[in-house]
Amino acid sequence: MTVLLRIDRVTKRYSRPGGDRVALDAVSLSVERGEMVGVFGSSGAGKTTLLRVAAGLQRPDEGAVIYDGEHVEAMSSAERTRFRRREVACIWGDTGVPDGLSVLDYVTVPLLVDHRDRHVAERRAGQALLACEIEQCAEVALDELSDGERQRAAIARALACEPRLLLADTPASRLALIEEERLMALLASLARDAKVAVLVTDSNAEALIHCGRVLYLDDGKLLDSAPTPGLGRVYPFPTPAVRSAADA
Amino acid sequence: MSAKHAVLGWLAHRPAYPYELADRLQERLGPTWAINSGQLSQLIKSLEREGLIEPVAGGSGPSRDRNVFEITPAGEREFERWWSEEEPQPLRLTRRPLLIKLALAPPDRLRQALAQVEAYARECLERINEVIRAREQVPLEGVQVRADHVLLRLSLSADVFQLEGELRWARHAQEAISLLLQRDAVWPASRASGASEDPSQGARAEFFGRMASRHLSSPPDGS
Amino acid sequence: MLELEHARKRYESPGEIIRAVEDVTLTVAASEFVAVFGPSGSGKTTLLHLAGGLLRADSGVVRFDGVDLARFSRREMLDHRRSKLGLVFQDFRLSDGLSAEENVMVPLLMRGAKRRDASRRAWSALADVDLAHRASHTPERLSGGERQRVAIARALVGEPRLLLADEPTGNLDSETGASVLELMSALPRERGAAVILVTHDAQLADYADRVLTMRDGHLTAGSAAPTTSST
Repeated sequence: MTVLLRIDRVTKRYSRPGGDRVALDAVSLSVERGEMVGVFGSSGAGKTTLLRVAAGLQRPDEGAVIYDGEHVEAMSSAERTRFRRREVACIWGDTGVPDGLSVLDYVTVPLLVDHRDRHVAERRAGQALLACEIEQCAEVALDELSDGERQRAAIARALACEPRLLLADTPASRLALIEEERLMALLASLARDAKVAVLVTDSNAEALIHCGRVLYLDDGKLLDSAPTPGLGRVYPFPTPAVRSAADA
Repeated sequence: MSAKHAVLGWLAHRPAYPYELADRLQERLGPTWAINSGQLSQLIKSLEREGLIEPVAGGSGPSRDRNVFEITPAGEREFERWWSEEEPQPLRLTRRPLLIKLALAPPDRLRQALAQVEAYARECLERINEVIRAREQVPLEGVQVRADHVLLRLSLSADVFQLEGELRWARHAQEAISLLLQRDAVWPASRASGASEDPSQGARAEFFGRMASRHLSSPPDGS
Repeated sequence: MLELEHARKRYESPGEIIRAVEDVTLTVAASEFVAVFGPSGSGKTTLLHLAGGLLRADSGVVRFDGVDLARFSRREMLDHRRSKLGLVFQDFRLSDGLSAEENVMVPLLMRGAKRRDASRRAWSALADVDLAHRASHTPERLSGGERQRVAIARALVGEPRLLLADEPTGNLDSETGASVLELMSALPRERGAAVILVTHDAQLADYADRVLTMRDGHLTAGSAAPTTSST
């Protein structure tokens, strides 16, 4: 397997009145192509910062982010633009567009920005909507969607660019269980079938059941999910059997 | 089953002819409690078999219906057990066939659905009027409060409220279906086109497959 | 230009009906700046959405240039939103993956503009809000005030007839907020666009031609008692 994203001993501090706060503390992790990795942690543990650093949106204070063998920090401006538009796609809590935009517009925008021909862009967007089972809402305004539909639209938007890396920040946080399951299964299929490297976070471990690997982020420190002697804290990752029993 | 206990409860007061029971129960509880004679004789037979009731000694007629029945000590115990131990049935919401029709039929059948809802609403209204008429026949309380009247009205009110709820739902359904008919509504894709299978599965496989082949044009996947 | 006549919008939530907007009648002229004050839950955001056609009224009429918005088909409504409206929110709603310039291009691209033209106009819209030098920055690298100015540039780049702003200064300090309001009141007027601003901050009254107050779904003229203790 090929490692696509490698985060190497990354530390990120925020300066606050009264002293710095360490958001990420020497975090290392790698994601391979076709792999879905989950990061579980409570709110404020550093999940969003981790994804922002991985996306090249924030500079680490120490350490490096290496994408497909290249240091993201060292990329030229043209390379960085290409990275941002074609290689990595992000799903954040907020849609980042004004109300009233249609779903099709929302998915098409990044392609148009990326100099794609309008016809090509709309066709590609249509296919992405279909793949995310949201095509019937193509002409519906984004603000009229349910939370689950909105997240699937966000994934369609990410897919339309055919990225190699997908970063999703607590995409299931507001969803009903059935929608959460549908969304996470879609992400898993994206990793398995489209060979995209997927890094997804959640504050609820159960949401990450589809991940091949789950890591635990606690107060800026990344821990293996496996019980580690001496940590005094065992990460309770449920097996599918436990989960289905709990659901029943 | 409550008809069984209604019969036991009546016979606990005093012996009665089976044909009498249907009328008596309706008198107490209202038209919802109408039991036809076939059901009633089945019920009497099974209660007798269980030893909960028996014909009054010295009853003559060749037919069971001619016998006066009374409750046995076992019957009294069963009624007592049921009264004090059995909890009211758990609340169960109605699964409406109409909703299945709406959820699974293509949009071009909305008008049919609307006609069905309208018919249902009319039926609710008729039934409500029927029960209200029955309730109006129960004399209002005068100087003496008549327990049987109060309780009969209570029973009839249960029917009215339930039917009113149905009617209210039917009105909502009419509005909802009319809205779907008037407006340019968005329907789940597989249904709007009338297609039997969901096109998204194939589309996803194709889209993802293309992404995978683009991404893996370099070293092949080891797993 | 914009008329609401006896507009009403209610939401049903378990056990109660929320009367978000009750019988509101309001006329806004082109180039007019109307500020609507009200505590949270008073229905002011719903009012804004009705005015923009983002929501349909349960009853009453909303007209834009004399045309009843309820008559629009879904596609016409989308076209209306794309071509006639500019929207500004408290939380900016910028796309993280796009640069400031690309964010401003979005409404133009949506209307079918060529990328090169969209880019040129976006750049000039950013220049209008004094952010041309930041055009290639992603929102991450901009301050809150800069982000809101990008959002304003995006709202205005398509030359909308109506600018709707929902607590645009809610996430900004007062000085930055003042400069944003300065822009919001001057720019649209120079171009003949009307502005409706909703906020709980009665201090923003200075910028408005007309001040209204929303309370429990009802709209009254003037800024009534200060609504500082809104929550």
